[in-house]
Amino acid sequence: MIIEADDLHKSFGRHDALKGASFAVPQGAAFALIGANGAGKTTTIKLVMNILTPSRGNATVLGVDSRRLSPRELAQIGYVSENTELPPGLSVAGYLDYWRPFYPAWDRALEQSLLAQFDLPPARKIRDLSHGMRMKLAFAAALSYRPKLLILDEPFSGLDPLVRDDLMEVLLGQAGETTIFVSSHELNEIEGMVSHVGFLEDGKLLFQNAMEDLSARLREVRVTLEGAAALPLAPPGTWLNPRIAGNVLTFVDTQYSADELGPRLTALVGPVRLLEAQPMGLRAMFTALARRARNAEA
Amino acid sequence: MIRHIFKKDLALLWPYIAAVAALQLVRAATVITLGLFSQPRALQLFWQASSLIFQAALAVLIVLAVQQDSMQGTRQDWLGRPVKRRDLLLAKLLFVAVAIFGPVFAAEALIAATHDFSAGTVVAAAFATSLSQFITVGLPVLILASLTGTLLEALAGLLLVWLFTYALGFVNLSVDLLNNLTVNLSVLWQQMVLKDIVIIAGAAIILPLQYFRRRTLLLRGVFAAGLLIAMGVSQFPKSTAFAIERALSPDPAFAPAVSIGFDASLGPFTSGGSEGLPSDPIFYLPLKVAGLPQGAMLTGDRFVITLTDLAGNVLYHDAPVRNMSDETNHDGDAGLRLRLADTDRGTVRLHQGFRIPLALYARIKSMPVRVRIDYSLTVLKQTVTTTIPAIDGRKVIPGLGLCASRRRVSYFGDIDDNVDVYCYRTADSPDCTTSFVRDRESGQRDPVQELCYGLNYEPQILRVAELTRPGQTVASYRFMSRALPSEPYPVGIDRVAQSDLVLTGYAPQVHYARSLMTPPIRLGDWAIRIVRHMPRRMVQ
Repeated sequence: MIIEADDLHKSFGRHDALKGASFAVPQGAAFALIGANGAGKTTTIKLVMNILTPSRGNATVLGVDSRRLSPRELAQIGYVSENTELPPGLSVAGYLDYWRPFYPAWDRALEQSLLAQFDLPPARKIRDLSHGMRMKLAFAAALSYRPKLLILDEPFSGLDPLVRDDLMEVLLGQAGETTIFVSSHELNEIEGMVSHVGFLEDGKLLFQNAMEDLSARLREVRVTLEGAAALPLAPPGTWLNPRIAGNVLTFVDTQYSADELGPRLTALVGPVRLLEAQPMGLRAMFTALARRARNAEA
Repeated sequence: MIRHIFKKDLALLWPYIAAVAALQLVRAATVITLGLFSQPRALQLFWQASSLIFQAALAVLIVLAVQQDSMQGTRQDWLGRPVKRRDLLLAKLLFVAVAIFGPVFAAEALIAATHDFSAGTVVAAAFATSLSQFITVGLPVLILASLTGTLLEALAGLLLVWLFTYALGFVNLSVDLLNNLTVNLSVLWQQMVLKDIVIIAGAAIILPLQYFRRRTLLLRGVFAAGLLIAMGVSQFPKSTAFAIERALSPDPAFAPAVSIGFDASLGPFTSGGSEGLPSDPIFYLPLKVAGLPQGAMLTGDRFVITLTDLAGNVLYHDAPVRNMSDETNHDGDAGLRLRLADTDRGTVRLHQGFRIPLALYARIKSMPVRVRIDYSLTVLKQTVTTTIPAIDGRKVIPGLGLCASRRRVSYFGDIDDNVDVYCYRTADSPDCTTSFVRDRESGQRDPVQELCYGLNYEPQILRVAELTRPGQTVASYRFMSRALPSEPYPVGIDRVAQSDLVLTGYAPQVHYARSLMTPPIRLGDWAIRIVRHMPRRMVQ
């Protein structure tokens, strides 16, 4: 595992920002830490980066305790955060010139290619760059040394679609080569790139899964029955948010099997006229699983 | 990577560095223009104001340099980068030392180089001044900048520290007046050295911890504690300070036989006028000081007076505060400063006055009491004797510095009856001088006068030449002495242009304690209540 977090807690005074997050990011994965604003995503990332120190629990990054991260490990990590403060007085070229010597693996050709791809003006001062251009510069300065691990904290927040596309294109180019750990509440933006997701809510990690597994298991099911029926008294635990209106039953099946669903429905609610099982997008999965997690918590 | 971080900060901050360096140049030009006599007055005020502005600009620049890679907060770019904390700290120290205090050193050296001293003396003087500023301004601001996230926060912190320091200084003064604990110019160097040690120790503790652990809140507490300690070092008792001085006496074997005794044969103090404001009575103790080597000077640094009845019960205990720049304080209590004249033959008789509360005096004036006085004393010996034309003289005097003389010009531009000698003082320049005017043609002499201005017991090893500031007064000769109105001045102000000023410097050699216990006496026999004129030495 590139990152392993075990029961991470972080308190700021009386406020518990993180109340026990455990997750693992496999090598080569694109792990998305998703959750609403204030869920604890940024805190988690700052703990992983040793920018903050955990109140309890621990994390290892590249096999090293996050509290012991040294320049040797940091030289293999690219870190981009939406709220990172870049030195406003430096130019784009000056900024890259400054960081280049810190990274033994810095690839000057890649740097030039990223500058061109992002259309970054080398002579322009950072203070004169738009937010989108600054994020592009941050990406260029984080990717030019081909990091083993790329940690992104809300990288697309506040960006216009064109910039997002530019950045996404570059990120997709890194897929497989670099492990990506990204936090976001913009689920649509990251859907195409993530291989794993973890859902954080109110400082707790409610679940963690591989996207492949979720996509295979989760289906949005719509069943048209022969006649009006009632919900079963004890619907299966694998059904999320079951609802019935007239003769139409809807739910999210978390253990979908095309062969087993039909007979099972017939046994539970009677004859089925039409059965539709649609694959789900990340947002729909997130909503369904989050609801279940909240209900379980309650 | 230290050099790399340094270069980045230089690239970002060069306009500020240039501005501060320009300000420093203006200050240097001002000091050079002020010259030996520190004139004109308006320029002196400008110099003092520009010094304050310069220090503030210096502080802002240090904060900006440190906060380019701020230690506080979680948004700094460098936090996610492979930057060695040690390199970052060393780069900031290097920046403050070279880019900020480098120009300070250059400007100080420029000032010092205009005074015709050797290159070694110039460099030593400039280095000492710059180092002193680095310790007293640079390090505290560096610490504060590392514990704050923004310039505004740092400036607010500096303002708080400044206000706190001044408030505590005021409290110190009050405590001193009430409890007689501390402030004494001659031992001030001890407090300054201790403060420097506290600052250096604070920097050695806080900066590495902040850069390696980023424990801002905890270290802010440490900073506050350090500030209290730095301020508190001025609170150790004077007896301790003088015990340290005794241990550090440059020549402990000098004048071992000095003694102070009660000498009733001198009789009651009879001088002083009958007019003036009623005040607490002063009793004048007749003293005999013996054992002083010829040409030595004795000064009392501190007195603790205890009155007891014959059964040994303490009636009164006090340690009068004195202004060390004068031998009397503003209340009229006499201090003790003796200079052995050629005719004295090792023994001096004089009265020393002590003020006691009126109510106490009224109660005990007729009863027999014993008076015990514990003295902290310093003996100074002659170090240099030289002559300089009383007016418009200018010369380098070994053991004194580059000196010049002139008729004093008042703030309003009037010429008065004083002759002043100003010097750029060298490290071995004495704190006390005596001077007299001698007519070059007739050889006649006016009476000897003395000046101990800013008597300072700082060990020689810590002293440096004062070449980076305007000249200092080392002698001031007044032709119509207030203190000795009846003494003749055969040369006088009219012959001053044809006269020399003969200067003799005195330097501290030994510090020691002496105690005096009187036989039973009645205060009423030795006290007067109405004070107009200050008692002076009465040589028998």
